[in-house]
Amino acid sequence: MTPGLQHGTDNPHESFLRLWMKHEAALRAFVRASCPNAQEVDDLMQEVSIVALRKFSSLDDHSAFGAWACLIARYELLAARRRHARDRLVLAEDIVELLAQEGAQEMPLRQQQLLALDQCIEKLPRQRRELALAAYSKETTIRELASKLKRTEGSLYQLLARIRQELRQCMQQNLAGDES
Amino acid sequence: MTEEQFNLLHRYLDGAITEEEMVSLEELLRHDEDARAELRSLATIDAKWQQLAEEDSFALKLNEPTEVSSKPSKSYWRLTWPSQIAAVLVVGSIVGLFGMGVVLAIGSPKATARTFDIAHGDFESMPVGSIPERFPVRAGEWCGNPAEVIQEADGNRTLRFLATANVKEDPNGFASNCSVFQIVDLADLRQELEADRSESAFSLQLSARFQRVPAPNDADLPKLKGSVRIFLFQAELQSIGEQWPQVVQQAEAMGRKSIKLKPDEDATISTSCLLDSDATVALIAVSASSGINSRSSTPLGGYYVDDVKLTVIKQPKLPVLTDSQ
Repeated sequence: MTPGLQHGTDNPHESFLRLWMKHEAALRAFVRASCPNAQEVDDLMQEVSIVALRKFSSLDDHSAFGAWACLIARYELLAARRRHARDRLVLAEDIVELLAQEGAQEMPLRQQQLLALDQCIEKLPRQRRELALAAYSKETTIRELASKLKRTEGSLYQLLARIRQELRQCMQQNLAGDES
Repeated sequence: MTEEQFNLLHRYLDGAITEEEMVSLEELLRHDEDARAELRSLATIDAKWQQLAEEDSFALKLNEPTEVSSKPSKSYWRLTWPSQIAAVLVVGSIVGLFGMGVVLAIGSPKATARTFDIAHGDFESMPVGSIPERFPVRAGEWCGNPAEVIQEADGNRTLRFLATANVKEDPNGFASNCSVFQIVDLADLRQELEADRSESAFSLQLSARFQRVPAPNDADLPKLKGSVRIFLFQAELQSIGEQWPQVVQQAEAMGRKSIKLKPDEDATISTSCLLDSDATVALIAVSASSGINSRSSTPLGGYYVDDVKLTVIKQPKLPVLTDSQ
């Protein structure tokens, strides 16, 4: 039987887990910007988490976990980009570098955006929310979903883009409201 | 930014961008700081959806609004559970990273968890040899794609995935997974839930330990993944197999988690789904996926699964409060 987690210990695994859980969503967003294939984000996140765990003992300042994990993610993104450059469309290396450098500095903003997003997604009409969840589900492809909904793939992509755009505006309004 | 430029960002995130558009996008991103910031913001939205879809533990039933509305939404789920429990479930979902066993620490005295017995979850009492290559037709039997129970030197029995196949032998279907299924009868549990007078939320967690050992064909399988899936149905046992895989669309709830292991790595992963008293049957699946979209079978080398467990977690519903985390 594996012992359960106990609060208030100095267990490095526990510390890592807490920090990882706190930053995972923002890191996922960081990775997604430079990863053209959504399905690969999981793989990259897993690689990042494994490397981060291995190197965790070298991180003295736990408050810098987010930026530190971004560095690891940046390395993994560049490595993945090189692996896939021959067989698929990937962003040029200098752009991945730019996105990663700027993205690492935006981690606090990312956290704020994610919090705002929770509220924005909550406000979405139920059908739109469910459509987006279905579209992002690994259980189904866009083609299958389009067929089920009797729409073209193109129109489904347009609808998803509109939902994304609405959420972007909502997110920005919420953040602007927080600052005012 | 222009609408056209935004469209480039959307098409990139959708994976639908053409080579020509990619050139334009790169030109834009290289010289426009605002465009890069917009991409990161849109990617944040995209990543959030991806995360929600991954964690999603209730059935998506487009065109069936009544049934969907009867199920708690993601945010309801999050808000009605204390953060300790939510954290524990997240811990459980990534705990495989550490090669540890299942972590299921219930930090709140209000939450309880107990094992729900499934047949041969540890494979110890199963005969050594191949399992039936078909979809299960009754509760409590492991069946599916080519797989065998083996006995290790220490006497422990475990299930080895042998090759990918299409369990329904559909000539037009892909054979990218080696999946082994078990149907679990929830009748007794359902009675328990119905008799439970407390205002509680129940979830069912499926966990399994995967192990990958070095094999000669490892280089051919860079995307090899292990996964656990659980589907809850209100249906007759037999109908599940008869209608697989389309029956997935009728699931009351579902959960899925996967992990990519390198040779010599092992991990326990788990997934949860909401359990309401309407569910009569659970279909659980443990799989190894080659990551190769092929209609022909692929040998899988050294991929194993053991300690398949179901856990019922009961948590009192709490008043919805603003999450100030």
